[in-house]
Amino acid sequence: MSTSIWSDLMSSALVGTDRRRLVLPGTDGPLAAVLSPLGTELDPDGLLSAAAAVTVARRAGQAAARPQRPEAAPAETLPYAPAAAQQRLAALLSGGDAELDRSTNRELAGEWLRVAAGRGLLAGPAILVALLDLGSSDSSVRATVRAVGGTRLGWLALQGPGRWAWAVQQEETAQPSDWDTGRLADRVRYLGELRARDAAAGRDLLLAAWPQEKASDLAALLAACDAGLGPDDEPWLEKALDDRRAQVREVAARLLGALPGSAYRQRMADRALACVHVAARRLVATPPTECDDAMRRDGITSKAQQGTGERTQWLRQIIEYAPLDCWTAYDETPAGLLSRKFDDTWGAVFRAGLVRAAITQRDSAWAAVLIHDGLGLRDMNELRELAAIMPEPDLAELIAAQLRRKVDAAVRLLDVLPQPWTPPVAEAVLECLADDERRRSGWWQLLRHAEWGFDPAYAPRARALHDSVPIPDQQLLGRFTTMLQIRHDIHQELA
Amino acid sequence: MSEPTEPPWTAEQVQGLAPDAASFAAARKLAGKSGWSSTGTGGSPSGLWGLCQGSGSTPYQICVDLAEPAYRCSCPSRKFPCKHALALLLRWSAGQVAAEEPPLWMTEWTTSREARATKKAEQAAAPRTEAQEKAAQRRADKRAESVAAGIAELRTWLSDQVRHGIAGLDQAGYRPFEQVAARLVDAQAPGLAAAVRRLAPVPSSGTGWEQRLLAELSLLHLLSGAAANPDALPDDLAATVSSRVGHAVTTEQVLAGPPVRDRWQVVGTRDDTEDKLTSRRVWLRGRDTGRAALILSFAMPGQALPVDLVLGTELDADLTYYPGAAPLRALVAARHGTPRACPVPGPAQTVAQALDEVSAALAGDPWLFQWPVLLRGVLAPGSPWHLVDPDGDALPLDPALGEPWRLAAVAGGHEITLAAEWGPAGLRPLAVYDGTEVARA
Repeated sequence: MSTSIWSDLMSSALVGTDRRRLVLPGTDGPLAAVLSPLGTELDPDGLLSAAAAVTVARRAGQAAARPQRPEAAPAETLPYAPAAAQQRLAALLSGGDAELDRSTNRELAGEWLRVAAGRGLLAGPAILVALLDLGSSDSSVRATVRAVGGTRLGWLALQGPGRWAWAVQQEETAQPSDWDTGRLADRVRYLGELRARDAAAGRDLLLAAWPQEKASDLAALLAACDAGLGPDDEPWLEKALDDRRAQVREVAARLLGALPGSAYRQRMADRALACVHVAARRLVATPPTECDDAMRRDGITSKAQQGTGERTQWLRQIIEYAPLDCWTAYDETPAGLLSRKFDDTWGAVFRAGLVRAAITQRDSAWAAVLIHDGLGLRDMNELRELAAIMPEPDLAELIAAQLRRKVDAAVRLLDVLPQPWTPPVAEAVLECLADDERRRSGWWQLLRHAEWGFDPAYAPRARALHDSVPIPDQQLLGRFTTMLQIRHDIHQELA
Repeated sequence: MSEPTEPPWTAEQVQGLAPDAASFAAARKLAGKSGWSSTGTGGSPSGLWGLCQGSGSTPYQICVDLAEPAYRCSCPSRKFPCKHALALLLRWSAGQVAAEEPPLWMTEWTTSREARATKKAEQAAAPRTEAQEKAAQRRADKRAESVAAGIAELRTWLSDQVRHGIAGLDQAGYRPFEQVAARLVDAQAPGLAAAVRRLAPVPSSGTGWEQRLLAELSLLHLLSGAAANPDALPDDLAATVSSRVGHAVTTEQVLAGPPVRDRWQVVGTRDDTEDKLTSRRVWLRGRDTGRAALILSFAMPGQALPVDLVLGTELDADLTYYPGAAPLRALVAARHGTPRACPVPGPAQTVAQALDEVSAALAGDPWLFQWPVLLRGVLAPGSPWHLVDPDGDALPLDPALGEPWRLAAVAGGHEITLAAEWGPAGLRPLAVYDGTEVARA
C-alpha cells in the first residue's frame, strides 16, 4: 500500500505540484491515521507531510530479506605466519616504511612471500585482498601469492571480480582441452607435458596438427618437443628439415643439434672442421664461398643481417651450431684450443662463433674458459649470457676473484649470480666495501645488488661495517644496511 | 604512588593522538633514540613526564596529563601534541617508563592547570547578577526569533522545491543547498544547516536519487514543522527536535541525567571530516543492558581527537544520555576500573531483534539515520551483499560502500559477529569479530 502512495507522491514531486495535482487515494491501515487528516488534494506541504509519514513507516517497517547462504571456505591445512610477520606484510603492502619508496616496499613484500612460501606459512585472511590486487598488477608474484594465500585465496578469487581469476586454484597439469582451444602458451605447455610423459604421443599429436599450423605457432610447438627428446625423434625431425618454412627448419635443426649421435651433428661437425684448419700451430678459418641447399636445409640462414657480410654470417652460424666436442679434433681441451693463435682475417668471427656455441649449447665448461679469456674485452651482454650457464660455485669464485681486481667489471655479472650469494662472494663484497680506495668505483651499483644478493644473516656484519666507515660514507651505506636489516627481520619474524 | 595508575595505551591509541602522519613517524623515530632522561609516570591526576635532548643545549621538558589528555612541551613546535610528547607516550606504551614521584616542574604544571580549572569552575558556578540574567534572557529571545525566521524560510524553500518539481535538481549542483545551509547558519540553526548540506550530494548519487531526495526533504519538512511549534511536543521529543535543530546542551546538563552503568563494549569508531571539523563517532553496546550508545567528539584542524575508547575493548562505566525520545548520544560520567579486551562481544542480535530495536528508535526519533547493531551471521555475496543470521533473515549492506571483499576474506563464509551502523541504505560495517580477534571493517 505504501508503495503505490509513494509513487503517486513521487510523480507529483518530480514535476511539481503546480503541474501535476496530487489527489491521494483513500487508505486504510496504520498510515490512514496520519494521511487522512491531510485531506485528499494535497498542496506542497501536504505532499511533504505524507512523504515523511511514508518514509518513516518504510524505515521502521523494513522487513528482513531471505537470500541464499554462501558456501564456506574449506579449512586450511597449513599454519598461519606469526602475528608480527602478518603486521609486517600488511605494512609493506600499504606503503610501509615511509623511508623506503613504494617499489622497494613491494620488493620486500615479494621477499616476505618467498620466505613464507618456502616455510609453508600462510598470510592472514585480512590481507588476502591486498595480495590479490598485488598479483593482479604484477604477475611475477602470483605463484608465491597462491602458495601463501591458502585455500581461502582461491575461494575468495572464485567469487571475486574477473581480474582475480589467476588466483583460482588451477588444475595441476595442463588438460587436453588446452590443446584444442587454448592460447598458444597453453598449447605449448600441454604439448611439453605430454612429451615429457609420452614422447611418441606428443610427436603424433604435433604431426597430426602440422598441416594447419602457421609458421610461428609451429615453431613454438616444435620447440616444446625439447621435452622427452630421444633417438626416436631423429627421423621425423630430419623430415621437418625439408619444410619450406625457415622458422620451422631452424627449430628442427636446434633439436637435432641437441640429439647426441644425430646425423645432423655429424654434418655440422664436418662443415665446421672443413672451415677451420691448423697451419703452423695457428688456427686458420676459411668460410664457405656459397650457402648451398644442404646448408639451408640444416638451418643456416643464407641472408646476412644488416652490417654483416654473408660469409661472416655463414661462418659464425656453422661454428655456433656445430657440436662443440668436434674441436677435440684439434685440441684436447677448450683452454688448449683458445690458447692457440687465431688468424687475423676470420679469427675474431671464429671466436665469436664459439661464444654463441657455448651459449646455445649451454656448455658450462666452454663458458668458463671463454669468460676467463674474454673478461673486460667483450660485449657485456654476451658475457652475462655465458655467466648464466656457468655452475654457481665456479661463477661465484670467478666473481669473487674479479671483485678483488676490478669492481665495475664484476658488478655487471652480479645479477646473473643466484641469490643469496655464497659466502665467497659476500665476503669479497664486504672486503671491497671496507676498502677506502676500492669501494669508490662502482660502489653504488654494487650496493644496489648487495641489498638483495646478501643473505640477511649478514645484517649485523653490514651494520658493523656501516658504523666503522667515515661519516660521509655511512650515508651511502645507510640504505644497504637498512634493507638488510628489514630482510633480516622478515626472516626472523617468519620463523 | 609507585603503582602505575593505568595500564599504558597501545601504540595505535598514541597514533590516534598525532595531529598528522609525519608527526607520528617522527615520534616513532625519536622514541627509539637515546637522549631520554628523568622519564616517569604517576601522580594525581595520573601524569607522564620526561626530558628529551633536542638540538639545543637544554633538554625539552615534556609533561602529559593522561586523564584529559593534555600536553606541554618546552620545544618550539607548533604541532600539538608535538613529536616529543608523542614519543614519550610511545615509550610509555612500550613499557619503557617506570612509575616515579613527579619532579617539581611536573607538579608545578599540574598545580597551575588545576588552579585554572578551579577558577573557570568558580566563574561558571558564580550566581549571575540580575543584569547578567537579563542579558542572557535577551540573547535567548533573540536567538529564538532568529531560529524561527530561519525555520520559516526553510519551510518555504522546501515547499517551493515540491511545487516546482525536484526533477531538475541533479543539474543544479551543490549551490542551492549551500545557500539555504548558509542562511540557516546565520539563523543560528546549525543542526538544520548540516541536514541541508547532507542533501547536496544526493542528486548526484546515481539511480534512485529522486526517491532518496524526496524522503530527506520530507523528513526536513517534518523536523522544521516540529521545531516551529515545540510547545505542542512531549518533552522527550522536544529535546530530540531541539538537538536536531542545533541547540547545544551543556555537559553539566547531560551529566546531571540518570547514569546507566554497564560493561560498555566499543564496537566501532568512525571519523568524518566536514567543513574542516573532524568528528569521531564511538559506538558502544552495553553487555548487560543491551543498550546502544554514541560518544561523539570533535576536533578542529591540528587538534587531536580523544582516544580513550578503543575498538575491541569494554569499559565498566556510567553513561549519561543526552535528553531525547530515542536516547543514543551519551557521555562517560564515571569509570569503574580500566578497559579490558573483549574479543567476543554480546549480546549478539538476530536480524529480527535488530529491526525491532531500530523500529523502536525510529518511533522516538524519526530523523535517526544511524544506529549501532551487533549481528551474528554469514556474509552472502550479491548485489547488494547481505548478512544472513542463523534464522535465515538478512539485512543488506550499503551498496555505496562497494563490495566488502576484505570482510568476506576475513569471514571466509563462516559465521561472524558483525558490528555495523544501520542506515536507511543498508548496514555500514564497523568491525568484525571472528572469535579471537577484532578487525576494523
